[in-house]
Amino acid sequence: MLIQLIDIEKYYQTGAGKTFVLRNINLEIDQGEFVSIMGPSGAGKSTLLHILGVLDDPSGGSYLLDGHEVSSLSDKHRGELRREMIGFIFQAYHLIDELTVYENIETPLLYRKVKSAERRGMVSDILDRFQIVGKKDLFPAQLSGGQQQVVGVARALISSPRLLLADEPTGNLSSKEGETIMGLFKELHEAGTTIVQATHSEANAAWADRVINLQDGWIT
Amino acid sequence: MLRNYLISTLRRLRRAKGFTAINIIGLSVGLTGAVLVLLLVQYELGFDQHNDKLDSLHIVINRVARPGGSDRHSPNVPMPLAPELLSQSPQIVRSARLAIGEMIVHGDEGSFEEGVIFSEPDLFNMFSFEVISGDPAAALSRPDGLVITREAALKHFGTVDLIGQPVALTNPAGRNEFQVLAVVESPPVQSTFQFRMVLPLQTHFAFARRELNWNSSNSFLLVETAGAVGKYDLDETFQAIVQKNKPDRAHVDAQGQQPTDRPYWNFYLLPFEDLHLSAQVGIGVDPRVLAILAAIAGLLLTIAIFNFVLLALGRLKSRFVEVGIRRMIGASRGNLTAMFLAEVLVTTLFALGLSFIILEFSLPAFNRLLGRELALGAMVDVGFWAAVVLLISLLVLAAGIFPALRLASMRPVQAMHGIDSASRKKGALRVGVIFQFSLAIFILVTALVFNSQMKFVLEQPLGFNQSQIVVYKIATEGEKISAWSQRLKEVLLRDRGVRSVTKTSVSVSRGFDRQGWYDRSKKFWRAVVRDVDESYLTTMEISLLMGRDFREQDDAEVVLVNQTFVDQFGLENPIGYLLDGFSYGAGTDPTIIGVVDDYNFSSLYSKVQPMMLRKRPAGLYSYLLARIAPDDVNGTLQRLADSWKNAAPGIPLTYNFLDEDIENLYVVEKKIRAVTQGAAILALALAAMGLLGMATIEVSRRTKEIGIRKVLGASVPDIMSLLSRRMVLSNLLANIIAWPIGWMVMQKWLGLFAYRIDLGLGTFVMAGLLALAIAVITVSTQAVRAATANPVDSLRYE
Ligand SMILES: Nc1ncnc2c1ncn2[C@@H]1O[C@H](COP(=O)(O)OP(=O)(O)OP(=O)(O)O)[C@@H](O)[C@H]1O
Ligand SMILES: [Mg+2]
Repeated sequence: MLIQLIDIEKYYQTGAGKTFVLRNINLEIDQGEFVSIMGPSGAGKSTLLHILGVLDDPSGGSYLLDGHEVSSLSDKHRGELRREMIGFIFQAYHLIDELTVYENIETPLLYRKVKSAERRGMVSDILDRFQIVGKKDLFPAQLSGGQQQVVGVARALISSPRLLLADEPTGNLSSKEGETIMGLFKELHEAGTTIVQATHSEANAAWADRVINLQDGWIT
Repeated sequence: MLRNYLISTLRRLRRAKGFTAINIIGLSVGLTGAVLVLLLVQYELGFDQHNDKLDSLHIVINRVARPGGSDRHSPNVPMPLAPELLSQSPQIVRSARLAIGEMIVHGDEGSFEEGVIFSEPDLFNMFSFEVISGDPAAALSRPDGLVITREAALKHFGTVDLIGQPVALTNPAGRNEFQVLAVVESPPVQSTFQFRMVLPLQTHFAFARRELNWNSSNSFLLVETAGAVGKYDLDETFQAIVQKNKPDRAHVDAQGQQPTDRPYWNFYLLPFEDLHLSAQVGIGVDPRVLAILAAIAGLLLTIAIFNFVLLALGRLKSRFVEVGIRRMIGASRGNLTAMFLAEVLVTTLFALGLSFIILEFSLPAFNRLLGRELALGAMVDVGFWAAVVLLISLLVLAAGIFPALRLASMRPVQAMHGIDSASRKKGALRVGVIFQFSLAIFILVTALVFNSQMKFVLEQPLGFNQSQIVVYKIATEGEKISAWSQRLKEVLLRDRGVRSVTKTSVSVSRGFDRQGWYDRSKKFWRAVVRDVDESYLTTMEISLLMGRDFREQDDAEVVLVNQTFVDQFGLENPIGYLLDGFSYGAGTDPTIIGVVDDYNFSSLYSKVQPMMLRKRPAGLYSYLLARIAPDDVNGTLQRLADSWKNAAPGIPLTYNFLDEDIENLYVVEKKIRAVTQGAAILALALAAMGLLGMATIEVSRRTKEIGIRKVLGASVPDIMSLLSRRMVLSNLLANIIAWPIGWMVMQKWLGLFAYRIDLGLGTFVMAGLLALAIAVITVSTQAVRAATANPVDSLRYE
């Protein structure tokens, strides 16, 4: 089992008291599974993904990633997990504006201290694979939304993560572009990558093995 | 990794051109100042380093005890100390006494006055000076030997090939023949000793009087020790020598009081290396001046750093998403800190480059101002670079660490959503702005006070009319001076451009001649004594308060005194008072015939002291003061020079204006004033640039709010006041910090002057208002832009 969430809850301290975003989440995801999280806006999908991606801490409960309790990890170990194990894709792409396509994709490798020659090979491979070699020297602002998301996916995959987390990866894309991304996920899934995606779209959710419904912070 | 940081940094800097310019210009101005101070310090530290034996060279200093505990450290010691020290202390292996004087050189090119040093053979065995020909030590061991520098040789004889050349020199004691026995290179610029000629000590006109005299401290004593000898190692030897030779030294100060229970004289060995930067001895450079310059550079740097930090914090929000992304894809806190510091480093390096360019162009001007020979090329060595690297590292840390840590400590998710976890940020920003304002106000206060005090000093009524007075100085030998000065007076008086002429022993600002004596009742008197003639008061336009002026037939038996003299010694009936004891029995004691109004005869740092004007038929009247008509001054001067040449061929005559002399008393102040004024303008410009940046950030952050308010009917002035309100408030708060500090610092500085302005509230209000005006103007430029923009445009921004 890759992921085990036990009684996870998340709340924010607001003026009136606690505002719960996630309640009583118990969830297990096996190695190699492809899971979709569905729910209306504000249901807590992004929050859950952030917790899964070790970007945010739950307010209560326990999260075991690959058998290790995450809450007890130091900042350094979390960084290591993010670098070595997890890839993240955002609805808003979130590329770094000052870096070219090539440099954006290369950045995670820099943080992993991959040697320059090896880095060049890896980036070229992935540019080839996504057919964006011709765009490698452009800046994010010079790309369409779909192209930016392709770069975002390429960046998430460059380190060959075991766990791929995608927060509405197709939210801003045309249905055709969305289709392409989903096809890609399928391939990755077949190759053994564990994938968790959050989505509004029934059609996209259907690509997964399993669909989890989230409503007001509860799994239903 | 580094490449990645570098690339994104360069691109970001290019995108935010305005902010980048503010940062780079600010830092480069600060760095220019800092590098300049660095060069200057390095230059001053390099003094006297050309001496091979520097480690074992010392100068004997006399720490003279004064009441109130502030000892005077004087390099002037009695001549007989040297042989005593040599015989008493085995640690002293060589010594050379040194005195300074003037001589008239009768060379091939005419007769010129020349500053000369008088010393002993071992001077050249102890100190390293480059010899061109001859043997300088041997030259000084002969009574008629002369050592001349290349520069002086070329000036007087047009050649350095001079060994054996006879030279006639004249000093107050008469004319003598010398022989050039050594030609040396001129001392390096960084040598404490600057000379053009060196003569044997015994040819100094006062040598015979001083050689065995323990009461006259008029020469330097330089010694070479065997190995390392500490400053106070010879304490006992010195004490014994003083006990033996000077047990009865008068322990009194100007007020006639016994100073302390400590010994009056305390000799010690100051390593020669430390002489140049010794503030106590005061021969070289006062380290406090360096400290002032360093403080100014530091102030400029501080403002630049503040700008940097404030602008970085203000724009931090635009970095949140990037930081979040980088965290997400695995960046550690260290990575992010390093990234931001690298950005600061790049900016700083640009600034450093720019500052070197500025320096290259401004060094000549600085050198003129500071009287130094700083150069980027020659002085840039490993030590310099090490200091620069250190400076840059400190700068990067100071400017970068706060924003860097703020960025790195962002939690990834919050960063991505642009949520600022630390709500204290706004507080830090506001405190920063207030601080920046305080600095600006403080600088303004300093500059304003400096300015008015210097104006006050320079325009202070001196008690005499200083304008249109030419100071003539005759340089000739002793007994002939009185004849020649009388002759010159006649020549001057014959000219139609000259109104009146007086002879005096000492010009207003030059020279200082104090005498002390005991009267019959053992009361101690001390006064500045000056020889003048019967035209002095009329020429100088000094008013006579009581009694009568000198008459032509008066002699040294009658004197004039000033009001302070009367007050200080409590003379109820000054006219006719006999100053008994003044002549120590060697003549008739003088009687007071008149009292003159106080006038300033030295710098305004000191109060007017008791003074006595004396008229002596055979006095050493080296100066003539001539009041000339204001029209055709140059013509008059030229005519006078010609008539003198005809009347006294071969007697050199120099002249200058008295008001120049008086202004020269304040050369250092004028330089400091120029530097502070320049620095103040720069500092304000930098602060204004920072504020402009802040205003831009503020306006862009509130673009949407401004648009909504305008849609709801706010007028342009409404918007302006909305945006300026916080700036105005910060400015007012800043005064609370800046005023007391400015008050204390300036009060302290003004305390150095005997004649000073009072610190009024006006200066502070003025500084506050000026800073406020700058703030309002900068904010307004931005606010106007926002307020007059089409509201729909500003709403669309978000
Ligand atoms: N910092 C915060 N403080 C208070 N409440 C927050 C904070 N961040 C998120 N929330 C709340 O958490 C809830 C869940 O947000 P989340 O982004 O996880 O929803 P979502 O399911 O991803 O919605 P969407 O489909 O619109 O992206 C929302 O109601 C939101 O208001
Ligand atoms: Mg979401």
